[in-house]
Amino acid sequence: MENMCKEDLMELIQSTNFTVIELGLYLDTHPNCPCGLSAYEDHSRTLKRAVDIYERKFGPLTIYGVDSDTDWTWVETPWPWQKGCD
Amino acid sequence: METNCDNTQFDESEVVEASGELQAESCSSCGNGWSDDIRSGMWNDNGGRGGRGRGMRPCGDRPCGSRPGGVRPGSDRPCDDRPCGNRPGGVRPGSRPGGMRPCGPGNGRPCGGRPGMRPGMRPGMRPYGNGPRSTELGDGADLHSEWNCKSRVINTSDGRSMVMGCEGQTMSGCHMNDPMERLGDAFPPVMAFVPWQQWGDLYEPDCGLKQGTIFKDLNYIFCGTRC
Amino acid sequence: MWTYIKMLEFPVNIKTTNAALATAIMSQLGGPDGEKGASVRYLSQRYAMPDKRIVGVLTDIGTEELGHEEMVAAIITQLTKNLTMDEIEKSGFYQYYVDHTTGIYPQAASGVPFSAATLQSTGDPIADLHEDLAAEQKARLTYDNILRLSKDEPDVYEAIKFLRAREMVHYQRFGESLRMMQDNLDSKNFYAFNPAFDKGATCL
Repeated sequence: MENMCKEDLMELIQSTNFTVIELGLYLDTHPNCPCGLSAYEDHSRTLKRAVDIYERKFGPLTIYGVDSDTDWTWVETPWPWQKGCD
Repeated sequence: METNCDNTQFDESEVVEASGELQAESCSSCGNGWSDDIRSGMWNDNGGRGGRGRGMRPCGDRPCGSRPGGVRPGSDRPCDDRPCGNRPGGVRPGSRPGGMRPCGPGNGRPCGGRPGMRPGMRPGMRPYGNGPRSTELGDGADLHSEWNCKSRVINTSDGRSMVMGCEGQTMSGCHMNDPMERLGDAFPPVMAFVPWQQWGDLYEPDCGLKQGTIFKDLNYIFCGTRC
Repeated sequence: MWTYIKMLEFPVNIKTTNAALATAIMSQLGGPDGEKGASVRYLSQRYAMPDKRIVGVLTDIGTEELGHEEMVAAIITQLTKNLTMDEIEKSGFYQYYVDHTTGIYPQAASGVPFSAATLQSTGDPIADLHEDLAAEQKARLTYDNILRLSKDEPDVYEAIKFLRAREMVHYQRFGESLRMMQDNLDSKNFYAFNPAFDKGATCL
């Protein structure tokens, strides 16, 4: 994961993020399901790691992830609907 | 002793509460929340009484994995070797491959199953599916009042559980041959019931994103065409 | 409160312009059964919902719908980005263009602006959940209609297919929420009282 390029890492984040959201909705109505809880834990762990690497290397994904030692990169990286940044 | 419509006899004292039999919320095979006792007493497709069986929903000539009411046009959902009426991704209790389900620890209850009572219920509330007591049936629980039918669950002398209906009346037109209509106590009228999703097979994340869901059971594609 | 993630839930990267398709897809932005309506509906209903698990469902689905609204806006932005005046005049898009250029404005394909009159938050859990089930089916069918129109635009088709699938999953979750609400009530009479408002029911 550490050596992935920006596009591949973003793909991984999008698919894992979606999986976590989907599992979250399932667990809202099945809060005691061990299978769901276990899958949620696995994918959340992967997501956190992927987001850490992405934000460190390529820029913030949330306003909380800005490395403020440099510039205010929050407004510098492309916005998601601007072509070429997905 | 009382006499059934077909002249078999049953012991009135063995009348059981419909409510007490209907606490098995989840059914991994049918996925429709029917308890074994109720299902085993179901009328078969020819209108006669069903014997005590495994209680699968009658399939008639429906293809494996298809829904009552027929196969969806353009449906491409694979059936594999599921027994007729079984849900995709579902595993019947007692035949559990792969360890994916059921989930409930120690009780074999599949994810999506519910015990009779739930935490937070207020005193005096009845658990889900706990309809009128069978001895009270007929008091606002007539399934088909226009036919003057009254139904109740009874245990017969030969050990069967049956849903009795329309005593002394013809069964035709009463909807009593429709298995779905005989669940009046589990699914009372004037309310909608969506089946619980059971934990099943998942897509890998990249495929799930493309499909729009990670759950294979919830993936219903669109293939409509005007011409 | 909400945090924004600088990422679309599903990637949108459309390489061609298509003003007519943009007009049709506009309905999923600000139309009667669109994503903005869905998010407003669910996020409004959650305050009166007595069951905390169903509050979770409404919050999480309402939040996801905000992300879908963003996706639809991204689709429209990309479909109209490089429109020529000739394309604007001939496609029918000129009616939107004259008031909004190629900006994003929440309205239906018919031009009717977004309105909360198309949704309800009744303060009655059973009514609200039935409203939500219907809303998801209406959104699903709107996406069916858009899919028929976008068969020749694979980039659009894939994004719409994703959004359509989400509606069905949301329908399932609202159905399960309704089951949870039924569990909280007496099946002898689900309608004896409003659990969000009444303290008890003398007829039970």
